[in-house]
Amino acid sequence: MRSLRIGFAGTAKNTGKTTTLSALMDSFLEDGWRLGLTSIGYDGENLDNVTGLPKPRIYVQPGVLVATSTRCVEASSAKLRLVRETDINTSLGPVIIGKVEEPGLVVLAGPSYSKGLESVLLLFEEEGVRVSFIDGAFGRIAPMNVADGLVLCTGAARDRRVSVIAEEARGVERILKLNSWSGSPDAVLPQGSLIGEYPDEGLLPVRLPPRGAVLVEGAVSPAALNLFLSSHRELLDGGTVVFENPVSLIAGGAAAENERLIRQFHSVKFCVLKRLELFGVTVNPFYPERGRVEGTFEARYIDAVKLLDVFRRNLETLVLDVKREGIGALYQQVLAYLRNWEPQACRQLYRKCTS
Amino acid sequence: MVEEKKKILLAPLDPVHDVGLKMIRRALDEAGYETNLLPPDLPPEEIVKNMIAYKPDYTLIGRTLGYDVETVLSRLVDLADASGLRPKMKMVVGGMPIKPELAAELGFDAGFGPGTTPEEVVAYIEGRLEAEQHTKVLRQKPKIAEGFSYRFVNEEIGRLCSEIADEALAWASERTSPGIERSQIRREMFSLQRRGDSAGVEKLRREYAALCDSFIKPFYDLGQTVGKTRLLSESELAALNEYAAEAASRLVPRRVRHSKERPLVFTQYGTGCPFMDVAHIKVVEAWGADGVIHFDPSWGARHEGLLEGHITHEEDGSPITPENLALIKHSLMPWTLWQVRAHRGLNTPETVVLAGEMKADLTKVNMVYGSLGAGTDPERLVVDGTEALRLAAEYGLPYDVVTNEELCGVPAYKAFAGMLIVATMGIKLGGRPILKPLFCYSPEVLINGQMSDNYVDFNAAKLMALRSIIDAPVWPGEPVGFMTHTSDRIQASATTMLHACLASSLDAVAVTISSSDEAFSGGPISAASRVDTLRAVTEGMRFFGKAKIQPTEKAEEFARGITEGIQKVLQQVKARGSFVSALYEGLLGNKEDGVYPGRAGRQTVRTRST
Repeated sequence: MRSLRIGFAGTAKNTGKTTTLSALMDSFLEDGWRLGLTSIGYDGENLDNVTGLPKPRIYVQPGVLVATSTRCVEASSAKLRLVRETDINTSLGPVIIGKVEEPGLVVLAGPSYSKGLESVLLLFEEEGVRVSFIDGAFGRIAPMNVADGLVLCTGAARDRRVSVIAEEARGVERILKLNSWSGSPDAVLPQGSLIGEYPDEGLLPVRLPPRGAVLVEGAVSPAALNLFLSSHRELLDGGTVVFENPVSLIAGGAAAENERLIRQFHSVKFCVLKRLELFGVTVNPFYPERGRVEGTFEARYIDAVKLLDVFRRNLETLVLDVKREGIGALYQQVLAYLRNWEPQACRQLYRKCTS
Repeated sequence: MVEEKKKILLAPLDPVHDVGLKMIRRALDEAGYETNLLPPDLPPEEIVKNMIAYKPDYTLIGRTLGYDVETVLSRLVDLADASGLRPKMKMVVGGMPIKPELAAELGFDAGFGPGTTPEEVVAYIEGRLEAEQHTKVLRQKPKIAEGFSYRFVNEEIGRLCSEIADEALAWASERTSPGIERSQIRREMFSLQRRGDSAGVEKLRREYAALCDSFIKPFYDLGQTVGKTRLLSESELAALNEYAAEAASRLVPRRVRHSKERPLVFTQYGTGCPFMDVAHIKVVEAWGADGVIHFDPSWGARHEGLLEGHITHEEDGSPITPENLALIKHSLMPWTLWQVRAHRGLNTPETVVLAGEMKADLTKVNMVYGSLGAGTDPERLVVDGTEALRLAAEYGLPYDVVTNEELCGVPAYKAFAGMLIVATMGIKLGGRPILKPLFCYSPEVLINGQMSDNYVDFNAAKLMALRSIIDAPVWPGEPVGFMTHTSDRIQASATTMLHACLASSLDAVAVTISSSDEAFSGGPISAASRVDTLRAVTEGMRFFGKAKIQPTEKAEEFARGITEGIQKVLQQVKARGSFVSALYEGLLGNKEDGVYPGRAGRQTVRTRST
């Protein structure tokens, strides 16, 4: 049975992905959901790999299924029972699926790319997982295209200028709200067509159909997208440009610029083949600042109240500071989504949670 | 051989440093791969375009990390995934300070940090290297005593050694001792333990105790501790196992040698406490040592019988017990060579049994040094040592024959004559001896001035002389340069390095080095001082590579003198007609030289018929 797959995507390191994930996971666990947990990077370590500052740990309860690498199992204090082995490798050894038997801290290093993540999530689902949690890494988002929805985590660690990060989050929000599209495209731009400074003329179709549907495969760079849209404006006007998924426009830190282009070319309809729900945006006032000693960092904070205020004024999605406000609102948001998403599978548990 | 030509894209993200990737490219080209090295400092989007066009099986990224560089790397990984490239292409990052954890966080399949060789990257691409433990898998346990014929080049010396060895072996074969009997009991105990016969083991233990002296016997009869020892507690053992496992899981060893496979570099341990020993072993393994040598307490050689159990000792020297050795063996990395010394005392044959049963790689036997410089009765040690040589051959254990009596003042030629007799006895018994002359500032050279100009000529002469006599492995000991150390750790590191490099230049199979504080610590040596000398030797090996140190013409003159001296001593021993008598009478070292026959175990030898 398909699980609800929730990705925790950050705009940078130290934006609160793990804190948000842990809090939301605890809420689901309290209500008896069967959970799976993995990471597309490396999480649960004591100290940050770059800054050396303390990081939030991940505490797991019995029954949770965890996908992590063999070396991370050794480093975890939670006792895991091996459930499945996989052929997915990481720099920390092969990924295994383990079931938590005794509670404790867990270190995560799961599959780092989409196809590997999809395999792990399918294994979770074969083992009866109902909600899968995918912890992000740095600003990486591409593997999240196999998720059903995202929690976007941002904050001062990305940029101390609140207006800049709010603008970026707004861009991600709008891209995630692009409509889905199905049908047969009139033209296909293969992978690599719109990457880099210029469109790859060798890959573009000889002729674009006027006002037709153009499918763009793979990632998209703002510069190449801009040139493509500008040089084919007359043909594209009134037509549809379809991207594979929202992460094609977000990957590589291009969300804000790509979203501006989409607004600018308002006579073109932009869609995606597969949508990703945005459950909420969490904001974190923390940022690491270089210390006086070379190679050291110190913890700093921007104005948390202002941060929340600016975000709430700019975004339509739920915004919260998990440390200050708790996870309740986000939990309710996901439950509300679940109510309509898979009623057959979740009705019973949903009733239990909301009664 | 590459069956299907893999395509490798190499992308230096660093604006300046792309030397590492160029070196790797050369290694990949030589291994038969198709490579494409991109210009440095392309933006991630351009690299992804190249990936799409080139369709590589691997993309190798080189980048030194600074704050925010990791963001660029993660964007590159993200774009590659979003472009659908990742299922068919592995991404690898290398540079400072890349660790496997950071590579995982950034989304790379593997990460290589400083010190990675191009060969390791090739091995990874060829699937010979586990991504998480690349150097561990790459390192194999080296073989130390293979590739030698053991044939005498100097026929006259060969003839003399052979005749003396025949006499000594025939004499020893008719005799036995409590040491030999205990070794037989110990061996039988291992056999019964394997069959689960605990009652049989206990019966043998009582027989064993009856053959021990009054110092050891109370341990077996009354359960009393001996000397300044105690048993490790259960919690200490649990902590030790945990420590060893964690250290092993994180251990990524450096390489000491640069472009040569030899000499293998050994260090000695024997803090008294097995826990500390394991800690020291882990340090030297991490810093590239090839092997470690177990040092037991000096009283271990003087008393009849060995102890049992996990025993720690307040002073230097870690007691040899089956349990202590098993503990050490368990903690060793799979590639580390392990020598358990059996050379000098009343428990020599039993120590070889323990070394063999515990799967040690090497042991050490020299009846001449043991009886003249270490206090054991010559008759007893020739009997016991001969049995030890036989056991070593049976267990397939190579052993070194060390001339420690040089430290007492015995001239090299005299000590070498004894070494060659013992080595010949070993060869005749089917063993693989390794000649171990000292690289040392010995009393002989202090008095006679062979090192008044340099330390090179006389040390080189020792190897030149031995090579002119026999085709056998030579391993300068032990530890090299020790007598030139001062309390200055930099000086001690430098002189250790130079002696080790001389051994390398002379194509020795191995070399033993000390820590930089070993001569002057006045107690336990520090882990940092072990790193001092290993680092120094690493730098020395890098500096010299395959280049040679050129001795002066004096070296050949010294070598001729040593060879002539050896021959004269052997003639005297042969003329005496008894190897054991030669030892008692000082033909292989006498009071004037600074040695005298030991007394431990005197009158304990019996003829086998009685």
